[in-house]
Amino acid sequence: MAAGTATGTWPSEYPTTAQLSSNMTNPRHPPSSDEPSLDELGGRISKARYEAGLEKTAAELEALEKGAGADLGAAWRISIEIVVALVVCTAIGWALDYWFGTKPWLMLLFLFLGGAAGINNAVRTALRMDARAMEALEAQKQKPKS
Amino acid sequence: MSAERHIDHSSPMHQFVIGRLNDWQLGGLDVSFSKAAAFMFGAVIVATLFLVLTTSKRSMVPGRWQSVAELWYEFIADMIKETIGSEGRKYFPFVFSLFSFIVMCNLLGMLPYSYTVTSHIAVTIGLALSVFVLTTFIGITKHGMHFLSFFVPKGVPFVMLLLVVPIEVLSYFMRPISHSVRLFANMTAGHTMLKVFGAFVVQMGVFGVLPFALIVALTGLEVAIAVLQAYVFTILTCLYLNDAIHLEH
Repeated sequence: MAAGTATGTWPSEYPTTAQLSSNMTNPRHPPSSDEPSLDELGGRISKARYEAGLEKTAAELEALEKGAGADLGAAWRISIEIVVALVVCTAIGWALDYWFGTKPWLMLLFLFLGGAAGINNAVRTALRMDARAMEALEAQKQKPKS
Repeated sequence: MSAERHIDHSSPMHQFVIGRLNDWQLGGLDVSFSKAAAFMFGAVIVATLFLVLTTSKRSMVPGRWQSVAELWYEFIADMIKETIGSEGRKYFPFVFSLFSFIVMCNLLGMLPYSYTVTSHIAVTIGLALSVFVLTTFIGITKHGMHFLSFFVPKGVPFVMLLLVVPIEVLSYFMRPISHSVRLFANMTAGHTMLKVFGAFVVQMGVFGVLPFALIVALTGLEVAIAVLQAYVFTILTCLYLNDAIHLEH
């Protein structure tokens, strides 16, 4: 995944350091010695990273995802969506009732709409996280054993 | 003014009081320079100084400090590339500044005697609303009236649209709120918890060793959460930008 995206469409006038090193090298074919020294250096860095298993999109992110706070973070991300939508929508309904004097109908309507909106957002977040996890898994599978 | 008087000094919520550093009035408005403002300036200054100083040498083979700065840059660049693609390049400065600001505010808040700016909903909703306004603006300028199709999912029968469209619109407007509450609630909850256990250490005498050990562990967790929540805030910003640019869920 990492090696694939690094060589992607990021324009060269604004290079990432990842692109700098990946442009110079292919880990399996380290450049020969008659090439400029920078390329050689890049090759060595890339090779070392590859062998150490560091050649990932964001090594830091990877570490974070395995860390103690990560599961908590995922839980927060999803649960907050539901709670916020439900509470805020109900409050909106209550306020509208207060203005129009239609107690309690708009509050009830917005309670259900808020629940739906919250679940809509939560499901979407969960699907995104799933897609991300699947991508990571695919990348793991495709990575050849060195 | 009122909050400062009513919250007891030993209360775990006392740490969140916005203290004034001076007393400025401008046309009846309170424009005093507060502790919160000072720490926001501090976060900007620390982040800027760190990045400028560590990259000043621009050596080809980065040293330890330069590696940290490069990692920081790459982390955001990769995030944008993965979530938005090459169109996201334009928004790199915005996303990078946002991440740096939040992560610095969170981490400065972990220092003893300091103050956590992001534990205030006013700050986080300010950030979330600027993201919300920006993404909506981008969506409308890029797609014109076609932007409204974002609220109409494909392949839904017309009768159902009467129900689905309001839900989609509500979902969209809930975004800045959940975006900001997530960061604010995490920071507030974590810091309150630390203070509560800190009080236990004092109250329990010799047995205070137990909550003290817990605080050590919790502090580690809080540092992780400080970085993680900054990351979550930033990646959601990227996802919202992606929605606005590509008009897809």
